[in-house]
Amino acid sequence: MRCFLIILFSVFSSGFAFSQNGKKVQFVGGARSLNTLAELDSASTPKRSGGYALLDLGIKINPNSNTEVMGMFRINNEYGGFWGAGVNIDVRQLYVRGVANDIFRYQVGNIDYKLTPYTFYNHNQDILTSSIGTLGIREDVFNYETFYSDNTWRQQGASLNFGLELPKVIKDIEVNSFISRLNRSDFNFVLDRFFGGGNVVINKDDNLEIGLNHVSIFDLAGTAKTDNIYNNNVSSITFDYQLAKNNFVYGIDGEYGVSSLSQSESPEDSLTDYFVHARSYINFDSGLELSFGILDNGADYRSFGAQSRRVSFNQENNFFNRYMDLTNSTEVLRPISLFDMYNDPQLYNQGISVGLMDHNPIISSVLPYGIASFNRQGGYFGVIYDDPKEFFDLNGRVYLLSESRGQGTLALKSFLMSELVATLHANKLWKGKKEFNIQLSHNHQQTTRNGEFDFESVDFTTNQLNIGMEYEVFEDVYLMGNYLKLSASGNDQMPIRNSEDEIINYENFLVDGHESLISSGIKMSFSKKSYLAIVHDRYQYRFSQITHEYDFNQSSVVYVLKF
Amino acid sequence: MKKLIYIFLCLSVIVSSCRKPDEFSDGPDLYDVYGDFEIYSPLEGSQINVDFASGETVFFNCELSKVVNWQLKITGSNSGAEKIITGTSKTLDEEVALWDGTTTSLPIFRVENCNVELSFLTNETDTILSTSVFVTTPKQNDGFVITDFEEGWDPNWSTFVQSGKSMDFGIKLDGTAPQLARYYNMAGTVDWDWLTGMIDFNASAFGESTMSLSDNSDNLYFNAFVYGDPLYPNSRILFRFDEDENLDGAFDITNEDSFGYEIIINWSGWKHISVKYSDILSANNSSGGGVHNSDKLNRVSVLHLADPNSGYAHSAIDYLIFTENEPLRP
Repeated sequence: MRCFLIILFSVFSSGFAFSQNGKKVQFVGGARSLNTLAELDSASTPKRSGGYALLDLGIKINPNSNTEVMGMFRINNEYGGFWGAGVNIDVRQLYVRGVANDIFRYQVGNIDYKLTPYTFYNHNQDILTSSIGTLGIREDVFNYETFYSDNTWRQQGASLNFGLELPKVIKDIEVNSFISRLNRSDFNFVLDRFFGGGNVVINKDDNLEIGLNHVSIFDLAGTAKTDNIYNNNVSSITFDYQLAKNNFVYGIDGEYGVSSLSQSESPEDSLTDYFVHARSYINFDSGLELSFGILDNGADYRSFGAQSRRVSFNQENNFFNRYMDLTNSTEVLRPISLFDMYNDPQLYNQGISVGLMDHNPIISSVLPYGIASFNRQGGYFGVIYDDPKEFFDLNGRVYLLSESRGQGTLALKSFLMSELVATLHANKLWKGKKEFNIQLSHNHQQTTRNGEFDFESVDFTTNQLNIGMEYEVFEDVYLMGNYLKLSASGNDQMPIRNSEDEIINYENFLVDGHESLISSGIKMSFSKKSYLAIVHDRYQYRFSQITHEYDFNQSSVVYVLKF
Repeated sequence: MKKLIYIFLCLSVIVSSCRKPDEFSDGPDLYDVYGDFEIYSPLEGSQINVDFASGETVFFNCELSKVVNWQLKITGSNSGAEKIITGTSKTLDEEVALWDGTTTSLPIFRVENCNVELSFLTNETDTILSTSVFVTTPKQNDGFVITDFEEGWDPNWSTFVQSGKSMDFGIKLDGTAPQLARYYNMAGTVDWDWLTGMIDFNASAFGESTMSLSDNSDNLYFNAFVYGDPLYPNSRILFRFDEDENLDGAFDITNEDSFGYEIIINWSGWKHISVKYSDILSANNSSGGGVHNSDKLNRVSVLHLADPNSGYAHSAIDYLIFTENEPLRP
């Protein structure tokens, strides 16, 4: 049997090409300027202005055709800084990557990596509606700042990938592996903690793909004066089997696996559970795609590589973090709102977090850890329509889920979530050359529980609505607008967990309110990679059961350049 | 047809692996959280007398009808020392209500009777349960004690006090010490210099040229109790650590390291401060190379500083101790 190795530029990490234009040194990066005037009606100093100009300058060096070295520096200057005051210089990216022996593809330093949705994946749990228009600009900014792309997490470590081709047996095998350090030892009670794993993806033919995946978060014994070794292991099998007919493709895919969580000094607290997720689908040539899936994620399923959240709600806002409670004239903390999540990239988590991160039920209650949420079972139905004439796109999904284990009662919560994104390219209707795009995006979540006692009852509903519009009034000049509304009403019994993530109490979470944003602006594109935008936001916070209401107005000038 | 059978079989296996709901629940029972509040058993200590010095501990028992936030407050009847233990549970037991002799706010406990009060942070009751426990021997702390001033002035120490107004530097015995009976007072008005006075604790007080400390500076913590006078919040204290790196019996500022840890005293009453030795910054531009050699510590100096324009300044220190592995848990 002939067997030979090939290089596979797999989808498991970002692709790149080595010095294809023959240049030994290239400069890459971007620049951004943001200037804001904001007013919060009940802050002790209601108006604030500020902003920054920053330059990300990356130098790519190709010492030979198989190696690339990349270093990117960030120079950030706050407005008002002068002669060095307010100027920060940081290293934003640093890595070496290449191909060894024409076989092994490696990367050392910063790596952007993911495996599967249940093992290692950066789920988007909080920005649940899609955005064009002014909010699309803000999404671009925080995705760039946080390195969130293609659901990868940025790690500091190393990765190694290669492929095998066995022509007479199977089509090919891809092997992907990575290792990174999550925290370092303090030489006393904190051990060096690593996150590593990999997968083997076997493509038997064009119809069948099977993957074996394993990740582990583990402490390295001997790096501190403690023997309490932490382990979170997740192993899974992924599969995708598809068949083609005359005008459609159908098949099934999914993931099945087990997880374990343990600390050597408290084996009685170990958690082990399994998860299963399968989906059948049928994709028509007309652009219509239908899918039906089932999932069963155990109550003790823990996989922090896939359950780390993007936003932790156990932190303070960085902008107007306090404001006045007008009822007693005291300053109170301003909770993180959906609008803050569009505004402030610093709220976002930059890596894997070991332990369950706090979530906000107003924003995400059905799948707070994405599809990798524990204690969920049920099914969903999905429909995607991608109009071949590019006039209309639609993407929708409805989940019907429940708990598999009750919290404080044997009665189980039931969950309903529907999500819809519909985009209309209206200029196609009259065959206009100037773009006119309208997008409607909606997310509805409902949690219910009936029980023997009143205090068991849960009835909690949230709705996120996002309408965006972009209209090209002149060539490369766009008028933009967004209406964003998040409403929530009802009650839920929210678990309060201790540092070991055990439930110790419940909070009767009761709200009836909304937050809304009307945003408008104009964008002038100078090229595909640079634009200037002027945006005005009018925001209202009306969750009086959480904290007192306020209005927030903001005007911003944004300049973005990428090179 | 054969392929459809494969798909059907796969789906059947997956569907059959979906579990039935668990017959138990996570977390405390909701009935225990939202039911009526009742006290099922009184507050009791696991023992009446406790000898912390020999490693004994005492825990408190109480049974409640539901999960509540509670606070256990232990107060020394003579010292006024306080230990606060808080929790959220329906049962107080060894796991959640254990006292190892430590204190939450200075002073530290002495040989004394302690009042124990259990209160509940709920609107349903204002009941406070109480009991008492007698400390036969306070907790002993592992570490290298530079001084707690209980033995009085050591002739191997040296001191300098400016000739200002109302200068009051010396060991006090007035019942306000945070540890045992004595502490060192530092007060006065010096309107020409930041330094009001200082004291050197030399290794010679232990009959050595260097103090007997671990050589692992990453694992060594310097601790002290520092007093802030609410009437005179203008004091600073600089702790200085001089090393005898060539082991010639003396510190040479020109080629041996001196490290300094300065604190601005902006609190009222006694406070425990702690710093890892390797985190202390150089005070002489790393003349000895800037490497922390804790096993070659020749002298610890305490300098009382105040802005000369700020008038009278007052502070005090007690219980200077090095601990390994972790900060002192007084």
